[in-house]
Amino acid sequence: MSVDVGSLAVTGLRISGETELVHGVDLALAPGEALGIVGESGSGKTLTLRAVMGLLPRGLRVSGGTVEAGGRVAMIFQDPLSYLDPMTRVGTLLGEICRAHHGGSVAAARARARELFVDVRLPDPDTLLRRYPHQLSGGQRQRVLLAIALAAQPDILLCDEPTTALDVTVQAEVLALLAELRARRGLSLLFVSHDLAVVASLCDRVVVFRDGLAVETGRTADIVNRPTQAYTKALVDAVLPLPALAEVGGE
Amino acid sequence: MSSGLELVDVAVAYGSTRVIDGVSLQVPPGRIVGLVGESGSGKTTLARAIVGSVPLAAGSIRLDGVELRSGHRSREERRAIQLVQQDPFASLNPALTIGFVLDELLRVHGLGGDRAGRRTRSAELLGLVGLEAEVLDRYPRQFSGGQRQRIAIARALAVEPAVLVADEPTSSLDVSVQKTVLELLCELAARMNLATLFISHDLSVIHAVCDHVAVLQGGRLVEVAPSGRFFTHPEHPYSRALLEAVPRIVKESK
Repeated sequence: MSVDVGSLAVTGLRISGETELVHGVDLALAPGEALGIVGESGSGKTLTLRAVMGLLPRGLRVSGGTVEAGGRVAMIFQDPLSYLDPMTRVGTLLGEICRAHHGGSVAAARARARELFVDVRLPDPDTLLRRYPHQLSGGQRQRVLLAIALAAQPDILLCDEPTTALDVTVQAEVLALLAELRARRGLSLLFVSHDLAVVASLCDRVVVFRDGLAVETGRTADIVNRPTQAYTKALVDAVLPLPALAEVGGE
Repeated sequence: MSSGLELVDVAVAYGSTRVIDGVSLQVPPGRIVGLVGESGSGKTTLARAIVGSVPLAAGSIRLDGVELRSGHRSREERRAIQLVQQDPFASLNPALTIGFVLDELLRVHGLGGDRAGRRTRSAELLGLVGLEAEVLDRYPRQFSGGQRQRIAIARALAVEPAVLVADEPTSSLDVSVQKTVLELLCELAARMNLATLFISHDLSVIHAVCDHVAVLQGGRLVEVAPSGRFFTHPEHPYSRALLEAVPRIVKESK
């Protein structure tokens, strides 16, 4: 059975190494939807995402269940520096990736790379295309990784804690960019984070992971306001509150 | 009358570049002052200057009114200011038991008396951070991240410091564990009258524990304010930009 373009169906996914780590997880992502996965370290959220991408670490395998993706899938990661070649200018790397996906001339690939840099709102693309990864800031590197992901013209984007290593102001910019790309390109997002507030700011629905199981799934507002599972409630309660900011010029 | 930790016009330079400049800040005993800033703002460099591991280019650091040496500090000076770092695993020797680490520390500083006395004191210190005495014979790898951070805190407190500098102490912990470590730091500051400088990039964590907030940008303090005012009425545009960028959970009002 085929699935709609931009949708993703994970059914009864099991991941095992020496022992079973993910014990039968179901996920359903609708076209254009943003679905969040939250959980603490070791809950299996990253493994699930990697299984969808076919990028499980050595020694681990999918031991049960199915993954059906409608269309192309791309992924971005927490630490972009480890996915970029330190010896290659980011523009050269992105150009090669564009040619690998779509063929064409080197010049056409360069032009395409430049377009992608504009798409991910990298300032002054002509200069930044010539930079090496170490010459870029953390936020710029994450945008380059996003440009690489977009080069595949994906229908579904998997995001593994893409803003966790970023400063809070840069995080806000990257989250805004992801929301914009979703609206502009109809991209479906599967977004993993340990931070419920980050997930809530981007996603329509949230899945709560614990010890390799999806313990609760629901609309973001329901998960935050009316959690049914004790674990979800504990996770919501652990988010430290901040008082509302007064308007500028208020007393 | 003790006045706690005082920074007066502190500057730190790497080569000819001043990475910290003109920083003046007070951390009174029993209080927790939060230092917030983005990466590269100089938070950790300032922490290092306070514990004496990088020299000052200008200004002074005082403890209860007495100026601390900027370069090589005496044992007493080093003892008075203790640092708790982000990654407790990296700061604990994997080959030594917790009991051995605490015992050695107490012995070197002439605290806790004889071997049996030091063992009793070590158990007390673990009790202070909510751990049982039986963990004394275990190795760092046998603990969770939260437990390791508790051990790092117990070790810092072993030498009875007046000042605790906590540099992102909960940033590598899960949220549920983070909450218990923050509660512990609050309780210890009050109970032991510790002047605590709490460094974090996370404003919601700062809000949970701090009496005052200092905002560092590019090596300079742009705002120092009581928590009660800072989080609703920040004065500096950069403070406001930071607060506006924090993702928040919008709960429906009941």
